[in-house]
Amino acid sequence: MLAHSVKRVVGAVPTLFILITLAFFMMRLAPGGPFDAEKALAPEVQANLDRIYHLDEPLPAQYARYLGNVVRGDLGPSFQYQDWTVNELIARGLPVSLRLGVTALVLALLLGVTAGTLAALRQNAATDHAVMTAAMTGISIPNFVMAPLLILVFAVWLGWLPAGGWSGGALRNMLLPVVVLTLPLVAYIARLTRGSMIEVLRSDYIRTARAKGLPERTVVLRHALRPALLPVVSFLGPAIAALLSGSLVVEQIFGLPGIGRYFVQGALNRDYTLVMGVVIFYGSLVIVMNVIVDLVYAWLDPKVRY
Amino acid sequence: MAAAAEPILVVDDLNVSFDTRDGELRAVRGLDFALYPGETLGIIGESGAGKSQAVLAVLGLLPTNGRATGSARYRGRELIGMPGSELNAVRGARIALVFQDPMSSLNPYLRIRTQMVEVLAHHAGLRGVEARRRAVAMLEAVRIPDAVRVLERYPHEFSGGMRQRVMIAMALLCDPDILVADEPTTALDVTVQAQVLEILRDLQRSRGIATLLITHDLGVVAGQCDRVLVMYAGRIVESGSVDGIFNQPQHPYTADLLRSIPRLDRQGRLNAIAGDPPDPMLAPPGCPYAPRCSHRFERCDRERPLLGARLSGAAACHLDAAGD
Ligand SMILES: Nc1ncnc2c1ncn2[C@@H]1O[C@H](COP(=O)(O)OP(=O)(O)OP(=O)(O)O)[C@@H](O)[C@H]1O
Ligand SMILES: [Mg+2]
Repeated sequence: MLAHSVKRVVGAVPTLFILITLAFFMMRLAPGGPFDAEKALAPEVQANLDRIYHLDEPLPAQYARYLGNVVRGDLGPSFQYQDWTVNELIARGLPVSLRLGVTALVLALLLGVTAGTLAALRQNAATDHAVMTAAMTGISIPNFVMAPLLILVFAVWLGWLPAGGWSGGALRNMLLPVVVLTLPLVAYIARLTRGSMIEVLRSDYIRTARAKGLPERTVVLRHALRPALLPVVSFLGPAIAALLSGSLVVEQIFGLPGIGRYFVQGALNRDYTLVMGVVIFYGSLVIVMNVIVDLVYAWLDPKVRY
Repeated sequence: MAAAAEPILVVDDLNVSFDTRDGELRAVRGLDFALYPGETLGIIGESGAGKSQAVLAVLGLLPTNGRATGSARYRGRELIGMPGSELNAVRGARIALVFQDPMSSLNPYLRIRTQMVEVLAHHAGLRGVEARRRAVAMLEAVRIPDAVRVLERYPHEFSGGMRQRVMIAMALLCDPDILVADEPTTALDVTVQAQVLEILRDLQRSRGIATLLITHDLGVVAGQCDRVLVMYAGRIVESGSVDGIFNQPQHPYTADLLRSIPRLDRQGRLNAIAGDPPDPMLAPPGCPYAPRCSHRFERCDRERPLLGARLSGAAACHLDAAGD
């Protein structure tokens, strides 16, 4: 099992390499440079800056230098936030993004699995229809629509919650961003759980469990939940990726000082190193999370053995 | 024989119907039978005759679109309509079930130990070492070698025959009065079938468990059963002792079933009779077997024969009544 996970992580190295390469060249191909401004810089200043940041070297040399630094865990200096390295910026944004993401994921799992299970147990009854309608709505509204809508209703009209800002992660400030991030996931997980739970409840071994005279609670929680969760666990990889990309939008709209906001600002300012750094960091995170998800799956399903 | 004792299970006018997209499907239509302590009662009949749904209905295990009416009394207690929580004290403990497909009937995600011990915990309040000891003893009783190790394994690590033995062990953990075995060997290899049947017979005889054995296989009936019910299209068309049914079948369907066994292979399945059973969605007047029956006469299309007493057992056919 351990050997398998190490193999998986090592196997992800080429993926990461491709990711770094793509990010590097795409940033460089985009028109404009990091020090373009309204007023052109004096040529000497521009040349100086380019030399400091090695932008005067040929592209392959820049690429090789960058790659070498990344391997050592150094994502370089930020072009835009003077005196800050990308590592420092990511470390600064991480607590915010992490708190947001973990809260959203845990909530999505708790609510999604519970709602999906209840819907499956009351198949075609009012609960079921209510959950599934809510789920469809949750899935079909994109986050960049839902966020302004929620701000409009709860911050502008009702004035119950702040329209943005972090305030050290106060509940009031977390609420709307977490809802925007969580809702589509809750919806998706509820649908997944409902579908797989209905299928599992029809299976022969559930009939056996009932024939053994076990109470319904035991039948559902001990016998049905684990297999019903397998598709949900498989979905966790994509779910984490969706959370990361969702956080880019959400942090920007709500003005939260997380990694996603640095990323968007970096992209707008052509802060090459910052953008690439975030891409590499999030890319590695997704890869590691997928390995963890694999391990959880294997732990749940005894037929999977490495 | 056993007939002198009080029956342990009495099924009376049991009906099972399903809500389907095309309307109501009547799978079981007025089933009556009694099971006596210690006997083995076989139920045979073609696929779709309603054998499985009848026994599932008795234990409240019908699929969600199914509905049972009528009566099934276990030691005088009505099971049909009994609330699930009360039924849970009976099923798995007093009446145990073994299903056809051992590959899918054990939970693949739980250790054998978990699946066995939970039965003891729920019905007998046994846990820990004591529960394990009982589980091991039961596995040894179904002749599973290395039972202590087997407990820690998952179902997929075993062959079909081994899994079916585990199922049988699990069913017998609480010393049930009644064992319902729904085609317990159909999914197994022929050689394994014989072993499993032998284990079943030994345990059931030594413990005096009344058994309801559903099968397609007349060879199994001959080897295991005391009495037989022949089911056709949701009804019993003949019942009687194994000897009587094999030697003097009273219903043309039973006779056709017996003829359909290939001479050299007694494992033959019951699918060799020409024609198909009637559509369970329909209820035409007359005898349901008439369209396939070689003795059919005018009255058969007009009037459905009721189950009537014969020399040995009973049959639902106009032939005898007509003085044939
Ligand atoms: N959930 C269901 N919905 C609708 N019809 C059903 C359902 N389950 C079973 N039936 C129907 O009930 C009838 C009796 O089925 P049953 O399983 O009792 O047959 P059986 O005699 O056990 O056959 P087999 O030998 O194939 O196991 C069949 O016509 C079957 O199609
Ligand atoms: Mg059946």
